[in-house]
Amino acid sequence: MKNFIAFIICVTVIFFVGCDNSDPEPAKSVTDSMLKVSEGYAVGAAVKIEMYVKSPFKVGYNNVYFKLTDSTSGGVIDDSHIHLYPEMDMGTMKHGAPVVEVDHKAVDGLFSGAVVFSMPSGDMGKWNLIIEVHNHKNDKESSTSFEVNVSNAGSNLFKTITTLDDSTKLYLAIAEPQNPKVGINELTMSLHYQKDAFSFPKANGYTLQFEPTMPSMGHGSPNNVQPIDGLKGLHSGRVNFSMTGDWRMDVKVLKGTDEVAKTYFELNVSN
Amino acid sequence: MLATDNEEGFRGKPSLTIVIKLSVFLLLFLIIEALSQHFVTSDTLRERICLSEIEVDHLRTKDTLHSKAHASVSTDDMLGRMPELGMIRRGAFAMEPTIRGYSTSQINVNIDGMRIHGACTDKMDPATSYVEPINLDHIQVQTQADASRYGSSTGGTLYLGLRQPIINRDKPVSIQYTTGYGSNAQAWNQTGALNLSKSKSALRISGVYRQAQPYVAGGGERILYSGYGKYNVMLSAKHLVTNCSYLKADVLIDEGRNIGYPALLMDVSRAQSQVYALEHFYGPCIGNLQHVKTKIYFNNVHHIMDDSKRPNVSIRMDMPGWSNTIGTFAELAWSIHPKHYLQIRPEWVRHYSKAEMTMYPSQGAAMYMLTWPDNVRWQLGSFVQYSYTANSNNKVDFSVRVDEVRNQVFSEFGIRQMEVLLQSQDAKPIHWSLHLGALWEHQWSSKLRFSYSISYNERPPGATELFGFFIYNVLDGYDLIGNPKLRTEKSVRNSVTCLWYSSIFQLQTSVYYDKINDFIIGRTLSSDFSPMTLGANGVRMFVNHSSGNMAGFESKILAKVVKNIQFNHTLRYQKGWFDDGSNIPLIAPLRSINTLKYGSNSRSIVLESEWSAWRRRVNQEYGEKSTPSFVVVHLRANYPIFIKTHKLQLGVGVENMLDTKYREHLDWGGIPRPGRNIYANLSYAW
Repeated sequence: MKNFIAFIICVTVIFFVGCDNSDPEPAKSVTDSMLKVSEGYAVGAAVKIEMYVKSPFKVGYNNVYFKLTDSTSGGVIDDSHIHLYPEMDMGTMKHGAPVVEVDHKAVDGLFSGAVVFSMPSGDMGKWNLIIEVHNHKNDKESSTSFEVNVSNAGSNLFKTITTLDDSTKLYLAIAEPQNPKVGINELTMSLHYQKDAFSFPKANGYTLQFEPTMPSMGHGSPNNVQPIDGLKGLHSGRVNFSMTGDWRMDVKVLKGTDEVAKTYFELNVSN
Repeated sequence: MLATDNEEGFRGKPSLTIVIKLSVFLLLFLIIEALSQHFVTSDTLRERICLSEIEVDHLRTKDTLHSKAHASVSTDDMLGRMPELGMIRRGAFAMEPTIRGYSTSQINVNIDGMRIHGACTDKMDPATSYVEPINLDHIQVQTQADASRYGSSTGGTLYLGLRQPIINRDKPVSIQYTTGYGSNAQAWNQTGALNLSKSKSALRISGVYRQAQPYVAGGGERILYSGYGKYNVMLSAKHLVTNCSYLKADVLIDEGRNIGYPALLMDVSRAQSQVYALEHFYGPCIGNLQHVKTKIYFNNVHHIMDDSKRPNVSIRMDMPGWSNTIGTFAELAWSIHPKHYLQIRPEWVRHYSKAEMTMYPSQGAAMYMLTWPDNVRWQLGSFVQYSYTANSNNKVDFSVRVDEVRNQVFSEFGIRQMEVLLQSQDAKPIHWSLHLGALWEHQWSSKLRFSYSISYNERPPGATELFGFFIYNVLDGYDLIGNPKLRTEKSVRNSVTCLWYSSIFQLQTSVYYDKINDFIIGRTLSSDFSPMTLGANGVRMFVNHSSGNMAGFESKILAKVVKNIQFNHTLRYQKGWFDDGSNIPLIAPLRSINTLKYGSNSRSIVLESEWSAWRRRVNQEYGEKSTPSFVVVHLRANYPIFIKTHKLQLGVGVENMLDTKYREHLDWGGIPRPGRNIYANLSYAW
């Protein structure tokens, strides 16, 4: 009998031990969940540039990430000055688009910045993104250009508006939430103005005010936090949605206390 | 736009699942039945077991179906005639009971020891709507010190005791059947019960089918959306395991279809409940132990609100709800000494609820939210009562109850919704509640009894009060939201009851005064909160609002005036006010029901009047309006018809004889009650 019990225990132990065959998790890289859009060389500066995004380029606000490698030593660069120049080539004419400055320091090996595309790629023309890098190791500057395909998917999160007082053309885009959900959503909006065809500096001196409503129900939502102007022309606040469905977010642009422009975004809130 | 059935908590075809469950139950019964042949029988003891559950105590309100005006009445009609109770009416069906002005989460509604909670956020399906008079053995309104026996409450308990199968070897088969018709709503009612008995076991099957069209109010106006249909089936099997113990299994299924709620914006396409229970009872065989009863139960309620029958609505919507409860308890009664009696009742309950709202705008995406985010409440508690009989004239009871109630919201969607409102993530509130009570009963003289009861009670907030999300209240026009930070509500209740009785006259009077602290009620929030419902006045959140007071009295007279003439009278008065002087909402004024009966039970004429005073104590902040006094008169007659040896009982009557247009004070939406109704019931019992 004792032998039998020992046998049973033995089988049980083997069974349970045998079941535990989960592999140790492989080390994860931050770029695993991202999409590599392009890679190329800024030849004069001896830098290899890899460009990543979290979702494909679309009209409106796009976060973009760069991984830089010194092509002579093969070492990863985590300190550099990068400038972005988006360029729309429409054949007869060209124009730029607003950008959010790229950080000088890489986080987890990635430099992050953003581009606000004002129109989709297509028959009208194509977008090129010119990337200028300064390799601090050899103190050389150079650039490269990637053609990027911009879809029309995010056009509901981007507006151009003209101010009533001095007819400034403003570029307003919702950086987040890209996919609004029921609950508390961190809200970030970028605001730039058009100085000339290739220059879109951040629009200083404006404040943004928003109000979410559900037009078919005539109600809003409580406890929203109005955005404040942070660094880089990004306005951060909080927007709350209490149920799923079609919401409208009205945005007022104020200069001091005067309302100089207004617009609205149509958002589909999911669960 | 009916909600689909394949939602969580309700899978597959309902009718088929019921049939399967019933067949399994029948099979179980047959097995028990077969086994039973091996045991010895003892007739004397059996009777004691059958009766042991009915404690007769004149000082407590125990209405053994005296409120039953005629053979086809509904549970609502019966409850509405009990003086301690008020009925909040939103339609012709499923009224919500209140006890001495306390409502909803302030009271317990308990069915045979089991907790059952409706699945509707708008209280369209109180637990009482899922039981029929034929299921019931007795109804008990507990307002005294031991009212927390079946759960912590600040206002009292409405206890509905279920009928048991009767074990009687001499009567293996007994049948009762009633068919009835009411002219006003062209209402057909079929009620039947069958009791099968062997020497050691019995099976009882009962069924009810009701169908009513929209009724006509006094004066001739037809009240649209007031029709309903329902059926109710109950199976109960009881088996004597030994001379001292029995096993009992119950299945109770109730389903209402196309129930209209004229006072609300929506109707109900289906309201279904299923109750399953298994009970073991150990009787008075050994020593001082009186009994030990243990029970395990499960119930499942599914409620679908929709507005597909309403022609003009601002927005179409579906609002399904789910609620299920699983619980177990034990009851132990121990006579330590002829003078010392101890009762202990530990209990564990798990309750799940969820309710959704989906709105379909004329264009654009459907809008969805959880009005009750998926939440579970675990309750662990125990009630202990010690009774001391000092002498034949004095008895005191001391009772204690302690509960721990844990709540948790499970759905991440629900938590995010709550954060929008409250900016917090308190999705797991825990409450402790305490009850302490003392009752003194005194026999003053051979004809006068007296009792004084005092109790301190706490009750945890309910799911709506904690987690409700934009639940529209038609009465005040506000959207209500829950508050997970609520504290328990507390009450100190005092009451004095006197009973004066002789062989021909009985007068019982109760007077009470209660103080309620941390009263839970919705208070208006700042205008930053915009209501969800189109046209709502604003948003209210449940808070512990100051303190309130309840006071009032009830009196009942039963008199045999002369031979064959009996007079029955009830009178009640309730008053509730907050410390700031405003009135507590939903409290009806002075009301009296008087009945004069000539004849015996089977051959009689009954004249009856219901009278209520003008209601002036209203709270306009909660949408209440002053409502006028009314009196309605009913005439009923009972007559036996003999066909050979079989006796058929005929009951006919005219309700609201004068076709008075009136509304009871707690009726919502200014909807008048039914006008003249001529009914006839034919009953057969064998």
